[in-house]
This record gives sequence, C-alpha cells and structure tokens, in this order.
Amino acid sequence: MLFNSLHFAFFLPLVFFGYWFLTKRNLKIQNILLLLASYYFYACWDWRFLFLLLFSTGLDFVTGLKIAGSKNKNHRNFWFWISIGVNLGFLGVFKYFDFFISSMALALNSINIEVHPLTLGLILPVGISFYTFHGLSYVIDIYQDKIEPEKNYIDYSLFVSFFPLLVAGPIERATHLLPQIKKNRIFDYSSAVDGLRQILWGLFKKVVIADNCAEIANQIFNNSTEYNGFTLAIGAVMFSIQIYGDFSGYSDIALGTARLFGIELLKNFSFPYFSRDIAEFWRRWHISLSSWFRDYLYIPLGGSKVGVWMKIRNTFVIFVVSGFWHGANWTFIFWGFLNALFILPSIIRNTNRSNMNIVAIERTFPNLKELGSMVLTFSLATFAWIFFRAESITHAFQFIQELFSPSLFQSPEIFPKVTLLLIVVFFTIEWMGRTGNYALQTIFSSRPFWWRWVLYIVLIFCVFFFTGKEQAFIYFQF
Amino acid sequence: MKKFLVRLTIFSVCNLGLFLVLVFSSSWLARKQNDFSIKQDTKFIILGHSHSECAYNDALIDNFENFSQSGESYFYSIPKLEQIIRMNPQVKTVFLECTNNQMTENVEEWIFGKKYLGYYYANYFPYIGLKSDFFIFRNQPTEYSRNFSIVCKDILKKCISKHKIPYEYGGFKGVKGTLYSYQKNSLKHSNEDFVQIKKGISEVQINFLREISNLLANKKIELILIRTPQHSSYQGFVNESEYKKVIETEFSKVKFIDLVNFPLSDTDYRDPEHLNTVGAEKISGWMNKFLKEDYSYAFQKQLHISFKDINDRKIFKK
Repeated sequence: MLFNSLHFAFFLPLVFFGYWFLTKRNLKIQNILLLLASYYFYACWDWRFLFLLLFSTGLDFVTGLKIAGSKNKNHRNFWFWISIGVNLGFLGVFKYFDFFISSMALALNSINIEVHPLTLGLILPVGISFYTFHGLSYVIDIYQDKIEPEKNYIDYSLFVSFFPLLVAGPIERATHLLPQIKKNRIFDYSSAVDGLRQILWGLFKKVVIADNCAEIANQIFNNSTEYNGFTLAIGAVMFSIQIYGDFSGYSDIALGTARLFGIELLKNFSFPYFSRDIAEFWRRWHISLSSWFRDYLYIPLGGSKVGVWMKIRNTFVIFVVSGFWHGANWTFIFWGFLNALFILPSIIRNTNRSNMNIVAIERTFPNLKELGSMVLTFSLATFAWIFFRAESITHAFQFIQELFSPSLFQSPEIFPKVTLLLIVVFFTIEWMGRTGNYALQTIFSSRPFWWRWVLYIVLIFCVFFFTGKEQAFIYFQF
Repeated sequence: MKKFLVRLTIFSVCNLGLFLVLVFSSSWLARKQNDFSIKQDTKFIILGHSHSECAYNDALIDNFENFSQSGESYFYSIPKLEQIIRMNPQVKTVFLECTNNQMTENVEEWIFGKKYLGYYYANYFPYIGLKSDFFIFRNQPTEYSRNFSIVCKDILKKCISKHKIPYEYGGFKGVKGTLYSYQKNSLKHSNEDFVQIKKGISEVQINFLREISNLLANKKIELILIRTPQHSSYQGFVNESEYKKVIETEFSKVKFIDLVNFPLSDTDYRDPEHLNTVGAEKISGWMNKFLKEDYSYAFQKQLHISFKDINDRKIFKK
C-alpha cells in the first residue's frame, strides 16, 4: 500500500476515525487498533513476511526482558548476541546472501577457479532494514542500561511496527517513541492541521517532483551511452532531486500521518541541498540513519575522541557500512566510500561542525560564498549519487567518463522545461520555508488563513495535474 | 476535533467544487477546440481498430475518410462517431470494422485495461457522457481513479491547443513488412499487444455495437459492418462459429460485407491480422471501385454478403 495510492486514501481516514471515535480515547484500545492497522498495512505488501516481522518483534521483546532481567554478564551477553545475531542474520540472508555468493564466485572465477554458486533468489521483505534497526537500537539501549525493557508486548510491537514508519523509516528510538505510545494522546487541532499540511507537502514532493524527475533520470541512466555529457549531467541532477523528493516526501507523509494520531516522529530531513559542506549535508540527510550509525557504530568505535588515523578509519567504516545498508551492490559501497572521502578533509581539519546554523538565516538570499558552497556541496552529492543509481561500477564509470568529456559543452538532447520549472518552484518554496521542520510549515503562517488555503489548493491541483508515471518509493528496496 | 472536521469538510468541498468546474469547463473548451469537420464531399467513413486502420487508404478511395485507430473498442467508437456525424451531415454511410477479435471477451481489456484507460479514456473524456464515465468507474474504480489525473492533464492540453482531426482520433496508417519477415522475427514482435482470441463472446462489445447500430438508424445513416481480410493462419478464427452466430442473429438486419476471403497473397500481409501497404493498396482500390458502383444492388437480395458474392456478381443479377 503506497502512501500515494487510493487504498491508503481510504485506509488512513478509516483508521483515524476508528482511533479517535471508536476507541473512546482508551489508550490500550487505541494502541491495539494502531497495531492491527499496522499489520494490515504491512500485509498489503506481502502477508508472508508478516511472520518475519512478528518473529523479529517477539525475539527483541524477549531478549530485551532477558538482558534487563539478568545481573550475570555472560547471561546478558548471551541474550544480547542472540538478538544481534538473529536480526542481522535475517538481514544478511535476505539482503546480502546472493551478493556475497556471487561476488565470491566472481573473485574465484577471476583467478581461474571455476565455481557455480547456488543463489537463494529470495524476495527482500519490505522494510526489513528499517524494522531490524528499530529492534536493534532497543536491545542495544537496554544492554547499555539506557532504558528499561518494555513489559507490554502490544506497546513494544507498536513501537516496531507503527505503520507510518514501518517500510521506510524514520528509524525511531525507543527513548523517543515508546514514551509517546505509553502516554494518553489528546487530539490537538494545530498538530493535526500541521500533519495534514506535511502530508500534502510530502505528496507534492513525491508525486510531482520525484516521479517526474524519475522519468527523465531513468531514461538517461538506462540509455546513458546514447547521450552527450550535458544530458548526462541533467540526468544526474534529476536523480539527485528524485531521490530527495522521493525519500523526504515519504518521510513527510510518515511524520504528518503520525501527527494525526498525536505521535511525533523523528525529523529525517532538514533541507540537505542547502548545505554548505558535506558534513552539514550528512547532518541533514536521512538524519535517523546517520544518527543511528553515529550512536551505535561510530561512537563505540571511539568516534572523534581518538587519534586522526582512528578517526579516519571510523569515518570510512560508518560510511561504507551505511552504503552497504542501502543495498547489496558494489555501487552502494562505493557511494559510501566516496562520501567518506568527501567528508574526510573536514574531519581531519576539525571543520565538520562549522556550519551548524541555517544558511542565510534572517536574510532572503544567500551571499556569494554561501551560494558557491551550496552549489559545490550539491555537485559533490550529485556526483556520488551517480554510483548510487548506476547498475554497476562499470556503468557508473562509463557515465562519468562521458559526462566529463567535451560533449559536456554540447546542447542537451533532453531539456524538460516543465519539470525544470516545477523544480525551480519547489526549491523556491523549500528556500522560503527552510526555517521550519518542513518547507510548507512556515510559509504564509503570518497571513490570513485563505492565503494558505489558496496555496494548498494549488498544491493539490499540482499533485493531480502533474502526476508523473507512478514510481515506487526508492527506499522501499532497502 | 469538531473544528478540525468542519474545516476539513469545507476545504474538501471547496476543492472538489473547483476541481469539477475546472475539469468540465476544460472539457467544454476542448470540445470547442477539436474540430471533427471533414471534407464536404466525404460521404463514407470507416471506424474500427488496427485491421481497418492498416487496410483502407483514404487517399486512394474517393469521398472516403478512415477514422480507425489501433486498439479502439466500440465503447470509444461511439463518442467519436457522434461527433463526426454531428459535424458532418454529408456523411451517409458508416463502415464499421467487425472482426473475430472484437467479439472475444479479452477485448474488454481495451475498455477497462490500465494501458487503454490511460490513453483512450483520457483522449475521449471530453466527448464521453456521464453515463459512460460511470460505466467505466463501476467496472474499474481503482484504475479509473488512478487514471483521472492523466485525463485532467490531457484535457488541459486539448483545451489550450487545437488538434487536427483525425490526428489523435484515428486515420490510415500504412505498415511495411511481410508475413514472412514477421514470422521470421517472431521474437521481435512478441511484445505486440494482439488480442488473444478465446472462445466466448463479449456481451459488452456486442451491446456497444447495438448502440452504434441504433444511433445510426435513428440518424438515418447507413451502417455497413465489414470484416477486413485476414490471413488463413490468423489464430482469431478459433471463435468463428460464435462470431458468425452473433452476426447472423443479433445483426441480421444490418448490412455486412465479409472480405475475409479477398484474394491476397502472403506478401500483402504484414502479419496474420494486418495488411501491409501493398495489401492496403489492393483492398483500397477494390473499395474505391465498389463504392463508385451503385453498390446498393449488392444488398438487394441479402444483407450479409461476402467478397465471393460480390465478385461472382450473383447478387447483382436482378
């Protein structure tokens, strides 16, 4: 069930009305309703993998209780590693088994040892990377005595399976979401309106911007040998905007939907394409994943409180692992490696925290230096996205070779005027609303309500009229 | 909560109202922009799907215009026909392709299928009445709703730019190639969307065919059903008995010309269903001669005639 589908358009109001009217605001019944709705939502993707989700939920619930219930270090370690092992084991089998086997076979074949690997060809369960990380963060926090285990199975299951974040995040923390699940929710008018507004903005980003950019990006990437450098550059930019519109759009819809139920989820994007350096970009892109890797991988490895070489090692580890998390392909690993390379100078020079505030705050336009920094950061990110999108490393290098050839100065073979106009409008709104949690939150907030209604109606019409060819959300494949 | 629901309802109603105004006013403008007027001396038109689209070259047939279009079901022929006969009172005879694959149940995919809705429904929306809109919605609510945005985009495009007719609404399309090359490269053509004929009849299509018959009868315009030549290897003949039964029982009072045995060689076909330009030239030449004669004699003794009947001139004997 996609967020931008008719099915969801019926599902959400039904759940909303059931939640606020039929449950008589009873917290227990509300949580049960949300949990059942979440399982239905997941089953609509593929009911067979519901059992995997239930198993993962049960495993982490039990291991959490066992870890907290034991004072014996060996006992605690045992249950901790059971949880880590089984969770990562499932992830490994479904997501990475075929990749490892094929890569090993390729390596052996290259040294004339012929092997015929047996691959499993398993379908990747939707959202496995996300709900696995939910569970892992819960177990790790208990192990580190940061939180007490949840004793209510329904509440814990809802934490793992809450439908807005189930298939593509944000990756929530038990410390943030569980207390909200256990607390009585009161309907708040402003919060609900804000939620609807965020859903609308998310839909606009996904359906109008991302899907339209996807058509062009797919055409160019899938036939990259037929186009000149300038056209390939357009393709790369289109993909950058596609992935931002797609993923941040989904996150906006998820956050807005959660708000309708009185639940606040973690912010996942904070206008990353207005970043002035790569370090700032990674503080603003897929925040929930970056912070997960920071807290559960980077800091345990020593983080920044180690020597320069260890800092460099830690940086490469988290970016390469982050790339690997995205998919079982060398292109993702290379993408992570490239980003580590880009961020390295600022890590070494300790300038990775120099742009912590919002760009051009209290000014309408950025100055030349800021503009230059933003363009450079966007260019670096786009360059890395080429590897993310390419079918293989070879394809990526072929793409880049043609991109940086003299044909870069030829006229583009594809020049999507309408899409480019939509992108300009989109980034203008994003720029104007960059001080809010999402672009539309602060625009016209000081004007009479009908200003905002006109804007909402225009956006709804844009969603209807500029709907591109339906594309799946990119991050569903992770 | 009450304030939220009230405001949401008011907003939704405003939205819906504005949307309906925009869609229907754009539809009205699109109808104004698209002119179905044809040459004043055109007395004969043909509608149908790809069989007639590839076969009848109106440049070779006097006073004749081909409005056939690939993949067109009778559901979409109706609004097109209504526009043509409204704008062109000089049209006295309508030929309508009536072949085996238009009777099979699978052909309903051309009405309700996702691919066809996205193109045909969007194209014909300004001309389709509410009853037909509801018919599609009732049968395919999900796909209908999903494709409505495509419809809206298409209407906007149509209402701001003039389109030459037939243009998107059909016309002769000569195709090259021979049966031999088609069979040799069968893999290359494997993605072509020909209708797989099964036994069984589409009541939906027959109802629309009846509607066309009644429409033209009311306007006192002659309807002639026509079966364009197909190669003997055409798989579609699998429902031949059911096809003949429908023609003989349901449309016994409608003129029908069966050209399936028209003398053509293998090199006149692009594939078992469609004539190539060479075949089209032959059949168009014949059609031109046929229409120049006082062909009403051909139907004097019987309404359903075949090429053989015409060729033998048996039916012309008074």
